[in-house]
Order: sequence, then C-alpha cells, then structure tokens
Amino acid sequence: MYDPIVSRSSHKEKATRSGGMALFFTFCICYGLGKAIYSMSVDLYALIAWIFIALTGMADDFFSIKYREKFFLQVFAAIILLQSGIYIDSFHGVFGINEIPIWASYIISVFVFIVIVNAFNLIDGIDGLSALLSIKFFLLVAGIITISSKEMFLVIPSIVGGITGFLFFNFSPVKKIFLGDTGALLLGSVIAFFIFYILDSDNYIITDNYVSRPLMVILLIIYPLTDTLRASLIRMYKGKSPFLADRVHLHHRLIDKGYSHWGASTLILGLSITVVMVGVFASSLLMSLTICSLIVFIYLTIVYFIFFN
Amino acid sequence: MKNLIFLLLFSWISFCQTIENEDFLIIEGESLKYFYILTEDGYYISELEGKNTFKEYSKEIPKSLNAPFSTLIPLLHNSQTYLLYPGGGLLYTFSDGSINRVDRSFPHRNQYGAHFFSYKENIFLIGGYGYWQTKSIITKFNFNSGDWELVNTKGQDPVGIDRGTYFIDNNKLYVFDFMSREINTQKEKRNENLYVLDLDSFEWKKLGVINDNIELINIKNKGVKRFFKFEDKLIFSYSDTPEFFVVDIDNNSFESFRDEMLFYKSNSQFIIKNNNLIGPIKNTLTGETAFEKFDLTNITNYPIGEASYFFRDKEEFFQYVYFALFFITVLIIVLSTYHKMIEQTYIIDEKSISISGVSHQLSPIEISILSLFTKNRNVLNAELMELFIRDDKTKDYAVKRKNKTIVNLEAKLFKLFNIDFIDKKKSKGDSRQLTYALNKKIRIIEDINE
Repeated sequence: MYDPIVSRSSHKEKATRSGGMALFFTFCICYGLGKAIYSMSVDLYALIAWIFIALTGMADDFFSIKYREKFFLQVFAAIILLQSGIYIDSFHGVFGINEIPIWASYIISVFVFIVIVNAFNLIDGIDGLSALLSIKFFLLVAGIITISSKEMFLVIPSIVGGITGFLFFNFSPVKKIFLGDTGALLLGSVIAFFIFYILDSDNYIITDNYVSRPLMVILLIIYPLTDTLRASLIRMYKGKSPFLADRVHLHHRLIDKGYSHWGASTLILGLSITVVMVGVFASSLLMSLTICSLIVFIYLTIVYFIFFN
Repeated sequence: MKNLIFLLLFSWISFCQTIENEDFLIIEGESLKYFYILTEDGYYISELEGKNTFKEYSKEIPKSLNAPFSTLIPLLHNSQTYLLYPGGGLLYTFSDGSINRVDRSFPHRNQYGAHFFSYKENIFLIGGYGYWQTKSIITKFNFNSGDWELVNTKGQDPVGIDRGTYFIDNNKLYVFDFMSREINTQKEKRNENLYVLDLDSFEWKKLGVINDNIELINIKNKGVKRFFKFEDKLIFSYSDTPEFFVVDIDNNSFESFRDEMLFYKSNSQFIIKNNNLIGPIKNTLTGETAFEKFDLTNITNYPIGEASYFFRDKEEFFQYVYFALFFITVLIIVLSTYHKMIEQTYIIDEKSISISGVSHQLSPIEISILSLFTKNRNVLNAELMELFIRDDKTKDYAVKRKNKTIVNLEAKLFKLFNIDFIDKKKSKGDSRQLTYALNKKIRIIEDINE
C-alpha cells in the first residue's frame, strides 16, 4: 500500500494510498446510516457506478492495473451511471444547441465522465490539491442540490466530512496518506454525477437565473479541466502520449517555483474560487454566454501569467 | 361570551340542509345558485339560500355503478359533471336528472386515490395506487372512443403519487406532499419535493424541496386532508384541526391560519361555490347529515406566525452560499493552523533527520541527542551527559565532548534548515543545573514506521 517514491514524486516520505479507501468506507457507513435514519438517497445505478469505480481504484492501488483496462472499466462505470436516467441531455444553448438526441447524450455523457474522472486523478499530484478542489466543488454544488433534492443533498456532507478528515493526514509528515486511485476515481465519479445532474434539463437548477449551466459546470471544475487539457496538449506537441505521467502539470510548476504543497494547493483553491466568482458575476450582469466565456478566458490568461508562467 | 360567539357562529352558518341517506356525493353543478347531492335513491337540488328539493333520477342508474356514491370522484368540465368510478375506468355524467355512462372501458382498479382534473378540452386522471404499486401515470379520456389513453410524459417524474396535494395554475400542475410505496416491502415513504407538470408538453420537473414544516404538519394531523384553489392560492387543511394552510406558489410563500369558521368540522367531501365552502357535518346524536356553508371571504384574517417559504428557493440558496463560504474559510484557517504546527516537524530515524521528504545524514550520537527531545522539549544536562560518559574516560572529557557535539550539531542543523534547534539555559528549579531546550517552533518525532 506504500506509494513508491519515484523521480516525479512530489513526496519523499513514506505514505500509503489508503485515503481513498477510508473515504469510500466513510461514505458507505454514512450512506447506510443516512438511509436508515434519515431520507438520504441516491439513484441505485449511481451508487453501483460509484462502488464499481472505487473497486477499480482499489484494484489499481493494490495491483497497478494497466491504463487500457482502467479506461475500459471507467467506460463501463459511466454506462452504469447513465442507467440512473441522469445524463447530459442538452447543450443549454452552447453553439446554439439545446436538446440533443439520446444517442448523442449517451456518447457525450460517457466522454465527459471519462474526462472528469481522469482530470481529478491527474491533479492528485501534490498534497491536498485534489481534496481541496473537491471540497470546493461539493460546497458550491450543495447549494444547488439543497434546493433540488433533500435526499441527495446528504451525500455531500458525508463526502466533505470524509475529505476534511483525510486532509489532516494528507498534510501530516508522519502518518501521511494519499487519496490513491480509489479516492481520486471515486471523487471524480461523484463529481461527474453531480455535473450530469446539473446539465440534465429535467432538473430544476436554482442558478439558472444567474449563470448558464454549462458555464457554471466548467467554472466549478476549471482547474482539473484546464490542467488536463494543457498537459495533454504539451505532451502531444512533444510527440508523446497524452496519457503519459510526467511533471508538466501547473501544480508541479508552482512546486518548482518554490511553493510548498500547502501553499500551491491553497493558491490554486483560492484562484479557482475567484474564477467562479468572476464567471458568475459576469454572467449575472451580462447573461451572454460568449462574452462571459471571453471574460473568464481573459481572467484565466492573466492568472496564468501572474502565477504560473 | 361563549354563548354570544356560539350565537354569532350559528347565525353565520344558518344555512343548513339535512339528508338522511348515509351514502351521498356532493357535486357543484352547472349553476352558481344551487348544487346537487346525489344518493342511490335520487338527488337533491340544494339552493344556496337553503331550499332543498329531492328528485328521483329520470333514468335508472347504470348497473355498472355498483360502488358507493361517496367513493365516486366528481369533476365539473365544460358545464358538465363527470363522475369517475374509484380506481379509474368507468366514467359517468350527471345531467338532466340522470346518470349515464359515457365510457367504453372497464374498472381499471389502477389509480385509487388519483387526482381527477380537467385542462382545456380534456379530462385527466393522475397518480394513484393500484396493483400493489403507487403510480405517477396520467390517463386521458378520449371522448370519441370512450377509452382512457395513457399520456406519455417526459422529464423527471415522481416514482409514484398517492394521496398528493395538487394545484393547477395556468398550464402547470403542481404536486407535493404525497406518498410513494416500495413494491417489494410496500413500505410507504413521503416524498418531500415539489413537482410540476407542464400540461401542454407533459414534461415533469422537480422544483425542489418543500418546507420542512409541511411534513411536520402532516405527521401531527391524522385527519383527512382536503385541498382547493381559492383566489389563485392553494388552501389545504385537515379534518381534525382548526388550522389551515395557504400556499402562494407564485410568491413561494406558505402561511398558517386559524380556522375561525370551523369548516374543518365538515367532512372531506366538499365543494367551493361563490366563495363558500359547502360540506356535510354529521350530527352524532341524531345521525343526520347537515350541509353547511362557510364563507371563505375573509379566511386569511387570522394568521398564525409569519409566512415562510413554500419550497426552498433563492433565499435558502444564498443562505447556503454564505454558509459554504464561512465553512471553507474556517476549514482553511484550521488547516493552515495545523499546517503551521506541522511545518517545523522534523522526523528522525536511525541515521537521518528529515522534513518535507528532504533528509540529511546524522551521526549516531547526534541522533541520540535529538531523540531525547522527542520525549521532552527541555532536556537536563545530566540526561545528555549520560550519552557521553564512558568508564575509561574522565568526566571532564565527557563534558568537553558533549559541548563540542552539541555546538557542531546546532551549526549543522542551522546550515541545513536555517533555524536554531537547541537553546542552552539555566534550570528554573536549580540555577546550577543546565537545561537544553528545543526551539518552541520545532517539533521532533521519531519515525517508528518500518
């Protein structure tokens, strides 16, 4: 269970990859109690998909499964998740497209699921980053879910509680633990589910009056998305596989500039919160998706040149 | 005073008509001046002024109508009264003093407790319970074929709607406070959300969580729930409590009122006519059923408490956002305090000292010195001396060696980590005794993980 220390490792201490398993078991216990005592409930297919993806992560943590196998299992988990009836069924006006055919919904949803799950796995390169960004996502999304679904809302405190507990161990120099693939994949799949929930046009989303759904979703996961996209483009430009593990991520750049893990993680958290604020504020004032996207892009470029260049 | 109130109340509800039949159905009728009470033997034309005329049906009641009259569901649609057989299927009209069957269907027994309503030119039946399942289906009556057709819906429909509270506002049908039953266990579960169905596109939407108080009200009240639309608002109440609740969906408000007119005493069967609620009250002494009218004009004069939200909306959302920002701020403060605490935590093992994964080799004696500070922040000189005293050497040699080792160690650690580790001071209890104290910012722990 010890995470091997290799050349691209950001840690030099002994650490286990048991955080994700702890998170998974915490969630299972909370869900069991929440279901028995209170009205906590999530669609059964979503639960099965989460459990499946957590087991995939566990297999990877214990036996290091091949990337292709992991990819296939992720696609399978995405297909299970789609059975819940919650998926991306509309572009909500992006490129002038609203409702999309069911086959396109399925393909896009599976693709988005794979991207999100792997993006959260890829940013899990320094202490606290993946966990802090997940907490930010869940805290902001919980506001929407608390209006839309009381029974589903309780999933969020149970996960946020689990991640908060994990963070203390993640930063600890002695009893250090990492999320591992179990945690990163599990968090990614839960986040993907909530993103589907927001993008599913059947659901009432309170923020519709302020910000377009696709823009909000992108703002909520802006760092994992931009970092993954940037890293993949750099690798392809260099003629390497986009899935190759290396140190081209933005957080590695901060570490190389002398930031501590804590400093880099909190800086990225703070910046990603400001991006959400800028996007929502611009959107509530202008309500033009194109202009808002442009403003967010300009803001991101400024942030990049100030902090990451 | 009690008598005066009673007298006032009595004069207020002086409209009172009695019938002897136990099984009856009260229906609005097409006129504003009177309503009907249908029984097995015939029907009453009850004028609002108080006159009650009994008439026999002009035609025999259809044989298929073998259910008690009180279980039929009436609906006034295009000035025509429709009577639905319990569970759905058989449909009758009441017109010109006779009951006639208009469907070519059969008793469905699929939608008991469903909501029967009309929209534009159609009549629909939604939800209900049948064949061990709660339903959220919508069936529409086809006036040409006489059959009921299943309406295809899209969107996020509730799993089952049994005993729900319904409200139609323009082309929207709202439903909340209903039960769903699990197929396997038959365990009932209250749905805590507000749903809306667009009656043009038949698309369901889940609008969100309703006020928690509505569930508490429901748990508290054991009587039969009634609901009706009055002045574009939804009013619901229970037959066992002098309290009613007004929902204004457009303004998302929910308010409780005292039922000063005591209309709660009437049965769950009722009609609303000319701002009056007309319902039967059974006299327990005589066994007679009297129909009384309650003027609803000023019903919202006696609010109980403040108005609150009906379903969670912007206000709750922003409250939550503030909470989330507060939570994340507290989390960052707690984590940064924790991080500050651990950032100068040095780990020693048998050969080295390390921090943040960066380790440096130390000699065994240096490790032994530092390991003393893992147990106590202040180490007595005597304790340190024990590490240096050797039987074959003098004490003076040991002292010199100790001092030299500590000075070298301090210099080495300062060079490595840019911080003073050990400070030499006099013991508080005994000024002759020296104590070595670890810098307050530093923590040293031994790595016991292997």
